[in-house]
Amino acid sequence: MADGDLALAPTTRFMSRKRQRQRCRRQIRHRGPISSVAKTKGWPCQQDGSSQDEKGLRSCPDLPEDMFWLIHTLMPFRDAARVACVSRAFLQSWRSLPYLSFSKEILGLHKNEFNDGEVTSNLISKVSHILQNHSGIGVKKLELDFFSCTDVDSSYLDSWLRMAVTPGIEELILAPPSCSNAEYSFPCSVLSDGRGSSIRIPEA
Amino acid sequence: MAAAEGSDGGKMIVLISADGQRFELPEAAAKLSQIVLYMIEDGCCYPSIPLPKVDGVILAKIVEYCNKHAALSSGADGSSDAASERSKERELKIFDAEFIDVDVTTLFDVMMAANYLNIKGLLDLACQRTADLIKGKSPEQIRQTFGIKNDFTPEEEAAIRKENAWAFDNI
Repeated sequence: MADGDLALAPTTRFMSRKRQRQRCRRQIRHRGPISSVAKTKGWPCQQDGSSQDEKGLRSCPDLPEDMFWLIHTLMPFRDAARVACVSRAFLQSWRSLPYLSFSKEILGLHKNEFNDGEVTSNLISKVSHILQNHSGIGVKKLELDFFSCTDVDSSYLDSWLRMAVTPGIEELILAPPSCSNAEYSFPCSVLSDGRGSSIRIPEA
Repeated sequence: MAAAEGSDGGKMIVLISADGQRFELPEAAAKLSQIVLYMIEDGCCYPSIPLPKVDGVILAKIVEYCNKHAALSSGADGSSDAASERSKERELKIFDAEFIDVDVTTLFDVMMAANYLNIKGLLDLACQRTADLIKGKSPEQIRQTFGIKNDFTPEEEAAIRKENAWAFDNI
């Protein structure tokens, strides 16, 4: 599909609720080899060797910063968030993670202990906070799956899209709340000015 | 003798590890490393290619990986039907799973060597294995598994744990 088709496609597709997800997707480009050894960040290793074998520190070598980041991108979003609490290097890697994925389940809000209002307010607060901390890093993939949510005001969806969709985004998955009172109209302007040019509509 | 011919008539390449060990492998297998490929293309592979950043134990693993993948790569044995391709894919998948089921020390050494030699498939395999080992673990378990020092101040750690508390259910 030609790039010129992009501007019209999302609006019409997001109006339909028959499909749980509407996807604007292109394959994530393979990242090139991690060539810079000079960019070594390292995994701070325990210096006392208490958990090491006889080879000592060789069990946690200095890894290039990009490799650190690559490993971080290969795990589910919840795991990635937890890994951020391991060390400063992991926290830095988490802050620059370009794949953001939100749903009630991922954010731990699918349990019966929350009523609908609590789920909605918690979800809005968490997504806003995480997106703020990841703004400006060039998000490549954004997934907002709120199909099973009772309601999330469309103004929040719009603001999150405006915050996260920047030039270079490659994959956008959006499932608006299924029980919303109004049809969600995708704000096509977020894909203007070249911000959507790196997205390709998947083949059927 | 790097330009020797293998038993099947193909050209052989010799790699020398940091500790001086010598490994001979078919050119097709050696070319899975982009670095080695460039050296072959530039004619810099004779009489041998020194790899001063990879020790013999790890280079032996790398050579094992390259030999297997080159031997089973598409069309290597002249067969190209779909059933044969699926069978090769299954065999490679099983090989990869067993190959990367190693201790953490070896895993990181293989990852570093795959990065240095620019062997994409092996780097992806090692990184994915590392990510899989991390999945489902608490920060404390991850530190213990990989020997990572907690370099946060108590205040910093409390702040990030609070921020990401949603990710800690059932851990």
